[in-house]
Amino acid sequence: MEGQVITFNREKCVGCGTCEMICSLVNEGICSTRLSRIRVVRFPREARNAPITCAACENASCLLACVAGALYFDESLGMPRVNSEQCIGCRQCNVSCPFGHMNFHQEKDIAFKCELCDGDPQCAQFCWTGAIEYPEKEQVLLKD
Amino acid sequence: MIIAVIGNGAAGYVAAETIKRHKPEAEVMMFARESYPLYSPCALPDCLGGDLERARLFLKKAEDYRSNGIETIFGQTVEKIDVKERLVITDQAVYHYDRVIMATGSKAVIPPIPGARLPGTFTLKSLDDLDSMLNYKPQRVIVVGSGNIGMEAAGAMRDRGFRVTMIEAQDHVMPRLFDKKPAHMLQNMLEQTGIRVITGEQVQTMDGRTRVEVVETDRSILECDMLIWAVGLSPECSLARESGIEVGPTRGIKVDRHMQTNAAGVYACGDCAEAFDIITGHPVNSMLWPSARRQAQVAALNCIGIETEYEGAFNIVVGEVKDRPFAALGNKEDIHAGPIRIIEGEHGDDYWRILVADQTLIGMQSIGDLKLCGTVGGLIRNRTSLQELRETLKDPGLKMTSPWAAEAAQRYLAGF
Ligand SMILES: Cc1cc2nc3c(=O)[nH]c(=O)nc-3n(C[C@H](O)[C@H](O)[C@H](O)COP(=O)(O)OP(=O)(O)OC[C@H]3O[C@@H](n4cnc5c(N)ncnc54)[C@H](O)[C@@H]3O)c2cc1C
Repeated sequence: MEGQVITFNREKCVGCGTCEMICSLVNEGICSTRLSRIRVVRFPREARNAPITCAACENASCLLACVAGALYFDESLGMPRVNSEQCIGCRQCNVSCPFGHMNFHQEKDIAFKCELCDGDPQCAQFCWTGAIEYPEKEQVLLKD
Repeated sequence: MIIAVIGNGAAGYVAAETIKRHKPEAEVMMFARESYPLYSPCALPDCLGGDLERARLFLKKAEDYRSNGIETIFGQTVEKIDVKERLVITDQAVYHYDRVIMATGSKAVIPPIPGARLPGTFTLKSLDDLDSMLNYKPQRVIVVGSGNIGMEAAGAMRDRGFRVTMIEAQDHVMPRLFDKKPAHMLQNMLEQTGIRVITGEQVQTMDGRTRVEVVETDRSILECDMLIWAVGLSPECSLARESGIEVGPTRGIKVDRHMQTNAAGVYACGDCAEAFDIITGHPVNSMLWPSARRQAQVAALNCIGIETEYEGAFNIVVGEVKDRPFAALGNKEDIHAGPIRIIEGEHGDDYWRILVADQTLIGMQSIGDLKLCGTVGGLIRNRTSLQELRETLKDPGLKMTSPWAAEAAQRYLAGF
């Protein structure tokens, strides 16, 4: 997982929502866009779709915002994670993320976010169009 | 190189940690009046209300300082910094430094009125404040001030089953962060939870035999057995003054964009520092946790020679009244001299408004659904104009490069 990144080819996304369903199923035990870490923004008029998840920002604003010591940077995943034991549900991270990615779990009263399924992101596994992939970083750099 | 960090709050800790991460060979000495390891003042109200165990307030353990290589000189008050001789002088000893980072934070304001410090009166700023509040058994509580801390303190005392009255001198609650209309909605929400809210009255005197019993405002007389001052925080800059370090117009320690003070080798960050607002450029005391941490990073990096500029302080405040969240981001209506356009909407119980000045987004206030507040906050921080958002909405290519912006624009700004 170290050295791998999640990539989106938005031209290939058909907006089917499989990623949202598998994400919430794997992480929360039910299919629900409300509990999915990844979300697909759909622009039906243009027939365009854009999956959005954690951008793994450098010096992420969610990390700076956490007042409870619940968010930390996981070096091996290369992204911020939530320690749900420590989260107090204050929502500071939710309103700090410029991508609208930090999510809030109403029932558990805590923040939740993409944590790449611990290094094996199921959205990438199940995406049948090839819009979501989890390649080695070097491969991505080569393409650019 | 010996770097002295004064203060062990959010700012002091991040400063020390940042130095150690980038320059492990630097010697970091941290001074603090309190002897506790780092704890979160922001979570004090949760603990006061009984939602959070006291132990969970702590964000670090004593060992964390040792393992990070931070030398702790706790339980000492720094009385003076000799900026010429580069000495930190505490109430117990004298230490030499090469650079110093002041992260002395803030203190709760208690107005100079008769009876203001009677037994039964409290502030909610430190762990010791919390402990003394938890040991006190009141029935009728008055909270003076309706900012973030006042709102949370009032909610916490109500949750514990006490009768709570909130007094706000301005004509609406949360006057620093919310415009009148959403503030009135928040006030209604508070009142529905059983908190009595009085606005437009100023507390003038307080009296009581063994403890506070009567509070007089300019218009009414109220009875209570506990009073919480939540009328604001003021920068802790007495040490700076004592040491000849310049203090700015907002009474915070004056710093440049590198968080450096007027004295060579002396930096300041967090609640004690006077930063500038990211939108207006005006000097402000941010008094917020994320600002304290970012300023601390900037101060620490510059202090060890890694040049970094502070981006400016951005208001982000979130709260909750009986499970209904609210948030204020950026600036409110009266911060700008020029005309402000308000784009607002309601959906069921949810309300939001976005403020636009000079065709540019400057603020957002929202009650209920906060899902896309962060995205709008990002757009505000980047000084996005309405024009840019209109273009994003028109152009499928732009929609795909920043779908989050298009999503927020579509939700809130389509048609403007
Ligand atoms: C009840 C409450 C709720 C809050 N809620 C929020 C919130 O929801 N969101 C948000 O963003 N912010 C919130 N804040 C504000 C936030 O806590 C502060 O902005 C932040 O903690 C500032 O950190 P700091 O390190 O600058 O200062 P402080 O936390 O004040 O730390 C300063 C430290 O310096 C020490 N010190 C000072 N002078 C000396 C001296 N001369 N010698 C030795 N030591 C000294 C003090 O003892 C203290 O340890 C809240 C604050 C309070 C009190």
